[in-house]
Amino acid sequence: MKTQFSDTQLSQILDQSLIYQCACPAQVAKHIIGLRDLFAYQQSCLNQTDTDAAVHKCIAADAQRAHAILETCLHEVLVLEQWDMHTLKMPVSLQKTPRTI
Amino acid sequence: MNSPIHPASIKTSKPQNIGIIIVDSSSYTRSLLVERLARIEGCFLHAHDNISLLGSTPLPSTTGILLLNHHTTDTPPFKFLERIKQDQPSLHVFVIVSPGTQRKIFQPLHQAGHISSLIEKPIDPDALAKQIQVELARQSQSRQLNSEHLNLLRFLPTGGLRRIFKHPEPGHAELFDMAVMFTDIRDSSRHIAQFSAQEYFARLNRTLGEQARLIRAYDGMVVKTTGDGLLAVFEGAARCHLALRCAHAIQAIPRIDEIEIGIGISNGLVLTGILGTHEHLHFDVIGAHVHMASRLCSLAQGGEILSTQDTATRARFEFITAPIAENIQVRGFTTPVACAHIQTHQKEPS
Repeated sequence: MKTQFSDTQLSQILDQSLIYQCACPAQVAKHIIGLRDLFAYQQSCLNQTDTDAAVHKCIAADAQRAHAILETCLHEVLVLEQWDMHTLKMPVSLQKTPRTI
Repeated sequence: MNSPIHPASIKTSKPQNIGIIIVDSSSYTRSLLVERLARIEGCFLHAHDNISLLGSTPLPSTTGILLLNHHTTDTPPFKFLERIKQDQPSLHVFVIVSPGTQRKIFQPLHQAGHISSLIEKPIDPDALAKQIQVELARQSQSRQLNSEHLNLLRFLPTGGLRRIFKHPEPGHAELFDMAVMFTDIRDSSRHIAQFSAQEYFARLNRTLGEQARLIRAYDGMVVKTTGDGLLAVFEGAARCHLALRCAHAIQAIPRIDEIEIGIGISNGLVLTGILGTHEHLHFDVIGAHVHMASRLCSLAQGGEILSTQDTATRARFEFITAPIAENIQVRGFTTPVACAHIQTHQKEPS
């Protein structure tokens, strides 16, 4: 599976967002990770019949397509929100204002 | 950073004293967690940026929940998580991780029970707060039940004494062979003057609670508290041995605010029974050996254990005994009784 973002980069995006209310990119990152898991699962699934093989191939192919679309989406969203694309740091302007501790 | 935060909403009249420790290396996400959890009633929060700051010592006993928000750039604290659950099995450990690879590396610890709840990012803070509230309520109830259970155990009769409680009628009494133990705080007037009444009671309660726990651990039964001390009895063939071992364990408790305890022990026939009226019943023990134990207790200096020589001999105790120079005359005994000072160090193996 071709990837634009590594697992570590996706985790970093999730780390910074933490909560749903300020985590639209994190939502996308989570689904990309889910699609990677789905793809990996299809690769290792047992093929006992021809139908099995066809099913796994179909799911894997569509997971790859969905993955590519969501990665592009994530890239666009990060650019729109003005994340630092090198460090993948969330811009301060997007952070909620928590209580000072 | 290490900052205790007391949610303003905690009602001081109903403290539950359950601590939540939050560990999160990012100040931003840490403050998001603190902000949301500070709204939960009945707990107090400590926030740390680094798990190593918690050190290698056990967490405070009031800690009920550890919440770790793991970041991909953090070193996974596997050893810490393994140790902390071994040290404090009742601790509920929440770990928040990214899905995928990060979750997978923590999954074995979750399966092994070192992590109680493994939560994927992004989280719903209200759902997390609700989970924590449920856990706090469970722990609070469990602590209350434990406390009530211990309180009841302190007074539950052991062995043959149960017969007395099967017929709790005023005047129901039986003779039992028992070891009788009195404990008492030495120089309590000085302590009372030193602390406020409330502080002294809190210290007294801790001291007596610890003694009662040990008495139960050595199969004894607390008959009653006697102001600054306790009256306890031990039954069965090993009663003298258990009573002396228990007394030794009580003297080995680290002293709270220099509070010293004297202990007296005797052994023999004791009349046990239910005293009072139907409106107010209580269990008590009466007899010459109760007087003897009480007398020995009053003679014992802080940190000392005095017993009758007969008790010490029957105990086949592995600690050194030294006869007391004078024989002690107590009412109920026709002749003076030989007594011994039980040393608090062990005999050399022969």
